[in-house]
Amino acid sequence: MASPEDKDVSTAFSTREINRNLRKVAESSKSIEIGRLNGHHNVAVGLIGSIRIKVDGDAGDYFGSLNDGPLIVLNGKAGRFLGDTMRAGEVIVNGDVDHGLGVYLMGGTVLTKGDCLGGVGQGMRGGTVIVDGSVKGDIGRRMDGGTIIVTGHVQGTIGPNSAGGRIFVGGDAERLAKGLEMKPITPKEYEELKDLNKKYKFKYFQSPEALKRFRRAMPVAEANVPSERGEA
Amino acid sequence: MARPEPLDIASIKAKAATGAPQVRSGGAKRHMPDLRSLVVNPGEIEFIDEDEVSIDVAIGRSSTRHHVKMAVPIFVTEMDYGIVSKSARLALVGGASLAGTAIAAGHGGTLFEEKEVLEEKGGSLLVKWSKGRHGIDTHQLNYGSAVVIDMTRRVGAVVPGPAVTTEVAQAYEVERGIDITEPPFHLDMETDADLQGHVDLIREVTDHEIPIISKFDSGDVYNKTKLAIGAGVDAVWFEGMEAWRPFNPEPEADNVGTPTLGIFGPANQAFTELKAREKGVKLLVSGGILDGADVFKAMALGADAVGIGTAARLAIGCNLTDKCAEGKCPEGICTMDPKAETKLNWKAGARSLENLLIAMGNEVGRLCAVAGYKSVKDLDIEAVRALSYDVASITGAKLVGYDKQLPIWVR
Repeated sequence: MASPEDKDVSTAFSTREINRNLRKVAESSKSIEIGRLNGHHNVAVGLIGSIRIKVDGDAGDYFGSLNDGPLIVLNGKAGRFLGDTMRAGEVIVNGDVDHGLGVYLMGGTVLTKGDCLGGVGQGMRGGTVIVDGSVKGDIGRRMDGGTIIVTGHVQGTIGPNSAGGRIFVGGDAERLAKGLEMKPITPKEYEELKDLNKKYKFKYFQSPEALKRFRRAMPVAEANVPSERGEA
Repeated sequence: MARPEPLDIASIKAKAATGAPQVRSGGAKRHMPDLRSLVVNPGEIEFIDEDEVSIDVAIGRSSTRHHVKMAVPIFVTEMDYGIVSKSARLALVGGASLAGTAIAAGHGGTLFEEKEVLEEKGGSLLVKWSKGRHGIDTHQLNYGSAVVIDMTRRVGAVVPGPAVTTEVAQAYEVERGIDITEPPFHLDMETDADLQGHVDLIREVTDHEIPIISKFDSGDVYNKTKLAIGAGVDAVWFEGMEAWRPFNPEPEADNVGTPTLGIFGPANQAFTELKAREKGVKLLVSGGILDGADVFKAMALGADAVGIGTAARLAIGCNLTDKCAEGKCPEGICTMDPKAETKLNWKAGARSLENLLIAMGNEVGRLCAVAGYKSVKDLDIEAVRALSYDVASITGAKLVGYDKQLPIWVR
């Protein structure tokens, strides 16, 4: 697994062996590639440091969880609870993700270039969750902090039982938790989204102007206070 | 009609005055059958010197590299920082460590000073994988001697806003002065079956080195035990209704769960059916354990180690004023008031808790000798007798005067 000619882990390695090798390589190397991952759960978890990991294939549940620093790119689908309790680093998924993307996220960024089932950013307290696609279920349940960005539609409820954090939606978002309403983004928020778009190239927002379609879910009381919020 | 007791009268009057359900500190206060309804059956033939009795236990299977080693079969249950003061945490951690046993971490991770005490005294910490994930990361999981997956259903505030000082906020990674809460279930579990996913995740993060324990409220014990064993844990921990809770809403306190005595029968049945003891899985029990005799009886009924909470607090200076929920503990234990905290000398508290644990361990050893057992690991239900028909029915212990198991237990 550590060398280019031995990148196929689909049958050759158990999850434990994959993770052990990742930890070992993390100590001596700055980057590693894993080939043809085949739905293994709990891969690339509990890693500390700025190792770069490229994974081809599909990941199972809890991919990239409890990490503190690694930069991971997954070219394939991922299972449930990706980036669970992550502290720092980045996980980019070029594919769809199941339920619970970024659950309990404390820091860092998790991003999918596909759709999610739901449970996005549940219980998160920091960091950024980006869905460059649509979400079929709820987002931001019990969220206390951090940022969720969905470029497409959200079919479920936004922010149930949430106490903090920011939620931006580029597409349709009809169901809001009690006490929240959608408001246009501010110029400052627009600049922030523009920077993220520059970095991650959102598929639905080719032009910077289109980013103005984003709206932010806000507590009603906060959203209606006359202030310098303004509109982008 | 039953005449209301003083607690009922106080509760009715408080509800009449406020219109709100009442919350109190402590465990269930109703009369329930308990371990004191059992007596020890003396051994008749072989003389065993109590000094020969082995009372140490360990948690962990052969598949985990490290085990939790306890010099006495008693550990200290979790008490959250913010509910108990830093001095109280240090006294509890210090006492458990000096006695060579384990203590469970609460919500909010582990304080730097606690780590210093643990490292100096060589104690074992059971790290909590909590539903709020406060203070949890890869370092913290790997720091513990074991990880406890909290599967209890406690809801509401963990620490109320007024107790969230700058230091507490730092430990829990929240803002100062705001209620610290946690969800009633793990947000990364869709069904109970996902417990296995958590066990597997924690195994990977800790490189399969340390034991994993799942902790449950009592109630539906048989199914929960099967679930946990099936998920691959190293130990299953049940907490009876008697267990202390700083905020115990009245309707739950006296009406939800199972007393400690009711844990053993269904847990043992699940262990037997799944051959869990042969695999090295352990049963831990806490709630209402006050002396070595309680520990002995719990172990005779099937526990491999026993947790104490209230007894540990009493040892470090608690006088059961039941002001835990108000944060106004005059002994400096359940308070975040720096002035009140000075009442507790944590080093003296630690020595007192060490004494208690050693004394309780000696009591267990003495009773083992009396009952004819050379090791606590050998204890079985033959070591005890039930004083009442009810207790014989609940536990499967032989009934005094009848000297046999009740027919419902004879299979």
